[in-house]
Amino acid sequence: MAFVSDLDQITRAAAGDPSAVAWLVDRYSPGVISLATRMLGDRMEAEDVTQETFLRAWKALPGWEPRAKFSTWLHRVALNLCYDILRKRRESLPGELPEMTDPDLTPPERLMQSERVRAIEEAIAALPERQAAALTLCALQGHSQAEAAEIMETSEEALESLLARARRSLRATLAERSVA
Amino acid sequence: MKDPMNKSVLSDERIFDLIGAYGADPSAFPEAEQAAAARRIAAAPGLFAAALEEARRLDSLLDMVPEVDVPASLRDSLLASAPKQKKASRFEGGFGRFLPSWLPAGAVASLVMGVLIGVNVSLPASVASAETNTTDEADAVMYAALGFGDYELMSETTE
Repeated sequence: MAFVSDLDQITRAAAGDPSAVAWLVDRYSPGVISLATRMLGDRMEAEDVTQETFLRAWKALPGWEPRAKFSTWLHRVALNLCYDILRKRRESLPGELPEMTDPDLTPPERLMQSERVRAIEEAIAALPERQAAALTLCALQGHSQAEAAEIMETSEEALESLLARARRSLRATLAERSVA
Repeated sequence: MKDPMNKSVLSDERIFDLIGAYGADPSAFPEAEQAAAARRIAAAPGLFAAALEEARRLDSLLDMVPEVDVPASLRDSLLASAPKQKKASRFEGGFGRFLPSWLPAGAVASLVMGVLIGVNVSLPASVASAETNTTDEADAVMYAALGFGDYELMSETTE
């Protein structure tokens, strides 16, 4: 199959070519919804973020200038939408912290895999937002340090620090919940 | 920093930092440091064993986190919200694409001229005669411009 660049597809999608539009959606919506789901811990809100991210992308396509990678731009928009939602949550629930310890958790040997997964997902979503973003982009989605730093509009050094803190915090939380 | 073989070397402290941030797999480290880190870890496995084991446990938990599927309904809605292809007008499609772009303007001009001529020709005789002096000259110019050289003949026959 011939290599087709993002820019080709963007140009065609901007002109309304349905196959280019489908290509962009299929290539990038999984990453966007995954990032939003991990950040927000809520599927419906993650879908809303994905929808809004693509609406903004469609508006941006006609004047698209390939200064940034489309993927980076898209993830950055999604991340900023997630930050907005998390900020509103904090404002509507001042002082309320997420429940981290479930006294009814079953012992680790009886913990089903799905429960372990849920515990990990909850622990990621409960991380400070920039730590959760760094961990999701690098450890779960496989973005390079440079890409993740660009998406988060930070330096690679700062990203590394966020990742180290995220992993330490996650390890402590999961150990507390007998998952790790 | 380089070793005697001119290869980059990393401090042990830096390697602990890398493991702490990126996990146990050196391929997840920043590209520029991967090779040097892998060499140092291989050279002193005992030194990094505990840190690697701890990182590996967390890596395996993170690997359990599934990909998030895009629901079909969301995909449909993303596609529906995308830019739509402009429908080609009838003039642009088919035979029309071989015609010059100024043709519609020409057609409108012809229509206007035609209406003017029609109005002039069909004016009642009394009105026409009253206006004959003022309009004959203008009509002659207009008909000449349209390529009707026999305007005078036409007006004579209608009278």
